[in-house]
Amino acid sequence: MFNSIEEVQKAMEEEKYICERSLATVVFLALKLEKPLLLEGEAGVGKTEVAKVMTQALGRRLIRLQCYEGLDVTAALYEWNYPKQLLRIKMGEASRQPLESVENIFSPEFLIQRPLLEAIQCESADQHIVLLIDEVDRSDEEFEAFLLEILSDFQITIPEIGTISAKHRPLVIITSNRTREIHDALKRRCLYHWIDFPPFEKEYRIVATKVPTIHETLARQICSFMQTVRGKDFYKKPGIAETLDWANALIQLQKDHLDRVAVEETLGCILKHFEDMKKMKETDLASCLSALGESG
Amino acid sequence: MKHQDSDLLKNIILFSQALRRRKVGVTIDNMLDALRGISLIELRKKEDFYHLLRANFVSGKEEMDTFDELFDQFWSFGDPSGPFTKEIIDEETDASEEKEEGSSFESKKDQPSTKDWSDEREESELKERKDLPVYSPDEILQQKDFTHFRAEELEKVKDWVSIFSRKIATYLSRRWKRGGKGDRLDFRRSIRQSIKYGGEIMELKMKERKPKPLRLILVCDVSGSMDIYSQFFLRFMHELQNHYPHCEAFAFSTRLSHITSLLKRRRFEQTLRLLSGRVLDWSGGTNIGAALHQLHQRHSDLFHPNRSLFLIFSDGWDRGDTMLLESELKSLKRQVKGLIWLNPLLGNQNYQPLCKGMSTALPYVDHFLPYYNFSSLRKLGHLISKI
Repeated sequence: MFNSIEEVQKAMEEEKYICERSLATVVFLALKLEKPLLLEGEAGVGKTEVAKVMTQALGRRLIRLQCYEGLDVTAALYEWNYPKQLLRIKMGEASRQPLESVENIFSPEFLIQRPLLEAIQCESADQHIVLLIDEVDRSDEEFEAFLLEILSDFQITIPEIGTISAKHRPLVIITSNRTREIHDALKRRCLYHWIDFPPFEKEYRIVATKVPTIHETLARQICSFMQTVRGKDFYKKPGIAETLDWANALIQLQKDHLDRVAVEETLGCILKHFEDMKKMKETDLASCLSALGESG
Repeated sequence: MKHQDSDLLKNIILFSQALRRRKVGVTIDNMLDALRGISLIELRKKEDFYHLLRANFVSGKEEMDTFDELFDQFWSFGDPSGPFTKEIIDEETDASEEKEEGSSFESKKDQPSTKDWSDEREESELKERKDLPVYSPDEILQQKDFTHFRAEELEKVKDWVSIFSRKIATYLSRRWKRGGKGDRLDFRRSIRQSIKYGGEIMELKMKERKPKPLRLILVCDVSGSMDIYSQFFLRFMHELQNHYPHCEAFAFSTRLSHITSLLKRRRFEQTLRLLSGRVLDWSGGTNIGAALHQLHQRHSDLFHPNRSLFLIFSDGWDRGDTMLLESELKSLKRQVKGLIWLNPLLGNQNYQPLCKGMSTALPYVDHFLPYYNFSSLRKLGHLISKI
């Protein structure tokens, strides 16, 4: 466990995650205060990565719940194991020992754990957990109500069994792309942090760390190009994930600097909308490339 | 040392109160967590102290600017136990002013009329409004136009709008319960039922697939030309928002603002006050294309070809780029189940949708409806219940 913000930042950098002190501070606080951490920001700025990196840095196990529309209790919390229950009933019949009560088949033995229950139920201290609730804005409003109980008290109530409380609170990281408003009550239970697109120097460090084989000039060109692109008006602005994809693609194509041909060939790495690509090719490409020349 | 600690505690409490006055909803839990966090960080580092308070007190990007501003004012001394007290006093006076504002608003409530709403605007805005298209009473023939109500009738109309909005919300919610006997086996209930027969499953319990709720995307034009009508639509949005959770609300004039959180769980008067404070360009010019473009960029995940219904309330007096408006509507139409355009001017019998924006938009609109009186609201309800 970490004792200072510096230690968190260092550990994250050792796992090749370059971050500002501000992010390290909230991660440190989330661990110490045992509060969930809500990370918001544009797509591809490394929100999900924080959970993965912390899993490595802490030597814990990652449990990931990917949210989607229609996600419900049976997929997120728990489900009864019906085949097993039916078999138990049949066994009872065969051995002429019919079931006396509900408890016989509605007991923990017949429970299938889904991610949230699994995260709550971890038994021993050496299997500590990082729980990642990814893209919570995709889930329905009803689902947020379930999260409320879990995230405020770290407990789950199952009608047939009772309340199960966490023995060890996991580090909970929730991400959202802000496509819709998250319920205030949920937000207020979390520490909040907004991750922005990185400035040039940070992005350069990220590229250099994540793609160590890259030539310095190319890396600088890529980053400065991305900075210009993000200043333009596109449907989806490319994030760091796109920068890294692009860097890798250019290396595979054995490019050592950016030029018009190289960019056009690999435009699909950074822009994912037909309209955006069209706009780029027709209007913005020249200015992006010339900005590159100016910055060196 | 002890003395300093209690100063710090006091100052954090004062700071959180100042935040609350600026509508950043800091809870007691947030406070306690922040205080717990103090022992974990090095207080000498102002940056860490800043992040500790921000992570605990802020819960959305839009609150960050307010926080930063107050933080700079409040903790301007190097030592966090000694804040800039003058600002606190200023804040106090601000608060009392706000109270007065509130009470003057209450007194106005006694004799409401559409005139009062416009009186609340600042002088400069009024001046600006004169340059914008204004509709003479002659243009609007219908007796019961929203703008024609006398002050004493207005309260009643407001109630009507509220009641009817709730009704529409019920139409929408009812979609959940429709459907046959269910197509999936409910194992949980079947097995529980079987216990009383000694584990023999005697009857199969079925469950029905929950239909996905229809998501409503409400977009309200609050530009100058819409001034009086938009108050009624905002009321409609407010009621709907609070009775039907699957709504996202936006307001725009030259740029778009996401206002869902401002509408939720607040009294309408309070909402209006917040809105005029927060929504930029209130009663400014209109740029529908740009607003839709922003909506697309930032909230594209809201759109779903089968499950989202798009309602825009605007008179179509567009001062922006019609090309942009057209391309935005074209792609919008592909992404939603229905596109309803509500136009307050449609109440006028002589009205022809000739203005640039409206004529561009019409080919892409599924339903073009008036929204200027109570019966148009009824019409809207009827339409929604059928979608």
